[in-house]
Amino acid sequence: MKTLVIITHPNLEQSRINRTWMQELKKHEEITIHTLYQAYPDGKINVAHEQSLLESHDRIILQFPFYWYSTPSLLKQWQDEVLAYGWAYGEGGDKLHGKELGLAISTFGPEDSYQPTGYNHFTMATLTTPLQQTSNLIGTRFMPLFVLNGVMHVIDKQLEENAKAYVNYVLQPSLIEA
Amino acid sequence: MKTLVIVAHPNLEQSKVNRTWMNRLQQEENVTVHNLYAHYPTFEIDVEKEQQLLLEHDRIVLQFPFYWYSSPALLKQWQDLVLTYGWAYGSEGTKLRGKDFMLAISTGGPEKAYQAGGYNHFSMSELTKPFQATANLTGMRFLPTFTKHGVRLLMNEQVRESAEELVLHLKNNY
Repeated sequence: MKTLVIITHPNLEQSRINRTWMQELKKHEEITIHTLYQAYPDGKINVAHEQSLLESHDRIILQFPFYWYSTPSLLKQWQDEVLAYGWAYGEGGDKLHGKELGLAISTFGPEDSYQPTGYNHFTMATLTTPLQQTSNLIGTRFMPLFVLNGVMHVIDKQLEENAKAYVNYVLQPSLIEA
Repeated sequence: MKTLVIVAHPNLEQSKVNRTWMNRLQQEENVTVHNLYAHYPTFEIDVEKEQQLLLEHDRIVLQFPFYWYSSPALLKQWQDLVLTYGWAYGSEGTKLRGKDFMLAISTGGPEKAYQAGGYNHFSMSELTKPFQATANLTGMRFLPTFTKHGVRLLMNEQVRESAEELVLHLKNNY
């Protein structure tokens, strides 16, 4: 199984969590890492290239910091342009069918804020329903989320362990039975 | 009460519903229509200008076609850049508190698709939770969403009617 991780962070160099996750992924050369803001600093996405990357992998992980309960804007643009009608959905749009789609999200807010009584009110599962339904429409198997909440309070030792857990998440056996 | 309608459609010239809505709203007094893609074709948003616009209005409406169960990319960029820490949220970020916040959305999928058992599985209320949470965090009151489903199948007369419905929805007291 070939795995593609699309990392979308507008400021990856200054990021602690997303950069550490990426560095841990880089120790495993079977994982393809694609950093979206580095590939398209001017926001002009090469749709054919992105589609061919997706076609040549079986599992796609979208890794990003949670911005306004959603993805950074370039990843939204990637969805809008790359997941085209007749390719990813609609008539003849079956190119992603049978692949797996996972989300790896870091959040500023602590875990207990993402519940009915917390200040963010909604759970991560609820807030990511737009991406879950995107997965439904493009025919991918939606994986359980990988989330690290409260990133300001994660000490180095915890982050180190979390990055290893992240690699295990990315490389876990296929959820789709052969 | 002054209302700001931020229109975010990457191809407004070819849009029927969103363009009709925008043109109709421009005829209303006390409604400012702000065409986001026309202002920022290269995504370089003037944050100060956008914040100033928000400050000058009491009800903020985001109008857009539903793309992947969310807003088009430029409106996401607008959220990420304009709603800054210390201005829109955080202990000092109180500038939007008490304002009204509303969504006006067009969808290609029919109404019956947006429910459990329908092909979109989730309701509009569920899919717009990220916006509701944004309103919560910035201290704005999240008003009922205006949605027009199945827009590709609308006749011209129905499009015009939907624009009148939107005006009423937007001017309503909540």
